[in-house]
Amino acid sequence: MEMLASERKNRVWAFIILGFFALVSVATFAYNEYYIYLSIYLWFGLIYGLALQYGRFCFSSAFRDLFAVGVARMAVGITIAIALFALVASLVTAQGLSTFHPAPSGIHAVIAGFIFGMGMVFAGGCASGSLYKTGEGNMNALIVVFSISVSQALFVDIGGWTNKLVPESWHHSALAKGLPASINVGDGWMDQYLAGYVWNHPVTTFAKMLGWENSSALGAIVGNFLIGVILPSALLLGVVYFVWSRKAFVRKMLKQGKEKMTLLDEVKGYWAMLSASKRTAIAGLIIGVAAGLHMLVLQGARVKFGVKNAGALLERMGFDYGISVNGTVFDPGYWYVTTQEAQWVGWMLQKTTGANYMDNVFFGYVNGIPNPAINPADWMSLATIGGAAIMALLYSEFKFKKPTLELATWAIIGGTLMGIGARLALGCNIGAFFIRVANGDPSGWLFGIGMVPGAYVAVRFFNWWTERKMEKQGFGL
Amino acid sequence: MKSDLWVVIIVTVTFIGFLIGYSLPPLVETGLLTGKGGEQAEMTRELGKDMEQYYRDLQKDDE
Repeated sequence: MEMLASERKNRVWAFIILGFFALVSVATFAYNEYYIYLSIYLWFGLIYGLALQYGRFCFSSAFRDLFAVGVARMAVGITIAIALFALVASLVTAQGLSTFHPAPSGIHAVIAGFIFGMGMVFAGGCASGSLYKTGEGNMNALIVVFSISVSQALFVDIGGWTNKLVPESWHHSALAKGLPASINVGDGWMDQYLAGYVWNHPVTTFAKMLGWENSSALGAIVGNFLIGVILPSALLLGVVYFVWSRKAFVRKMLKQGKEKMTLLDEVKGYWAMLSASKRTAIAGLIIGVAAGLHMLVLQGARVKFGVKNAGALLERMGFDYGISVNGTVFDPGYWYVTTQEAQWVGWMLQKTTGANYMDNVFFGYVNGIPNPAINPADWMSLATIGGAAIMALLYSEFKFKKPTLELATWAIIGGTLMGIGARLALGCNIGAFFIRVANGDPSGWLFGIGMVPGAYVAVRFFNWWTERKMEKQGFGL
Repeated sequence: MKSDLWVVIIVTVTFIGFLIGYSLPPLVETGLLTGKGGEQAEMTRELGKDMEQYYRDLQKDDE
């Protein structure tokens, strides 16, 4: 009886959240048609939240499970999700309707991935994982979200003594870009890193490297999808199979009386590994289709309103505060997690402290710091948390979890590392890895190449830390 | 729980369906989603005969 009452309560809360998003969409649309642009982000964000919670889709868990206990389920599920999203994205790109823009490829993406990978293992959740865990009532994950947000906002505006760490070549290159005086690009480590170093790297895709146009069928499907995603993913899964999953399958075969593995058995083992992560794969399929559709629908809205960026719409709606010097705000056109988290902190800091957060490249030149209440990408993040909460409530998995001091400390350390890594890479495990890899951007793979050893080092560190702690507490052997 | 999840799915799909219906026609109208090689349709420069006559009449009124 007790159980039924709590289930009923959960159900009511799930529908209150859903009703709230529906009401926001309808009411704002009735007030001003342009709000539908923000509602697009909202409803796709809700789908991401529902799917993330359903599939327990977390990059941190994927690496931790793989390196700590040899379980490949999540890592395989994520790879399948990338492949499925890549398929949808390639079809959208082949139509010339993709909103995706590749990032500069260079060694910085590997270093950033390493820092981010360490951070997500320390924090116990990646950028997207922390959002859905917050929706489950995990307050430690909320600390991670806050930590990512604050560290990014502070890091992009860092100046003073850090200017001494800037190589001369970056400084001159940044100044030569001819950015508006309000940005003051010669002052600040991140500004000079972006304008004087990152922007000098090539921006490309697998299709372009092979001499094809992105929007051509050959470029999008053969170049970006088959060569850029499917081939490396299959190789990666092969490595995962031979290093981690095969052992368990061989043991199972031995139990059945088979002493030697044939090629057919290997194929069966490979397939067993792929099909073991059914729930994550279903979540990946939903995310894949939704992410592709998200790009398509946003492109349609842009054509309808005759804009290339939401900044123009916000100005038409009478909101000109926090819009970048280029008249833009952060409007990726697809799934993204971390930039909008930095924005709301930047907005809040500028409002409360009076300091100027618009004199740096990240906020002032590109993304702006609009009011979070009318920030399209913030609508997406809130809806992601809401979607995860709905799913958790319906499956009775919602539970308020207070963080311990130790967990909170790790959340802050991990979140800070993720924030720094995300800004160095111009994105997180979603924006810099998942989306970029799926769209044939080699910088996504570079981020992944860094993320793997970063996560590995953090897992090893955690093992050492835990053993040491247990020894101190007298649990040592 | 299953029926509750279906309600959530139906509401979400309804909103997404509306958003698709709202956003895709401009892509079709501009030729971006109609197999015209992905190129944006050019704006028609010629005035229709009715519009031409309308502007001529306006001039007459001014005179």
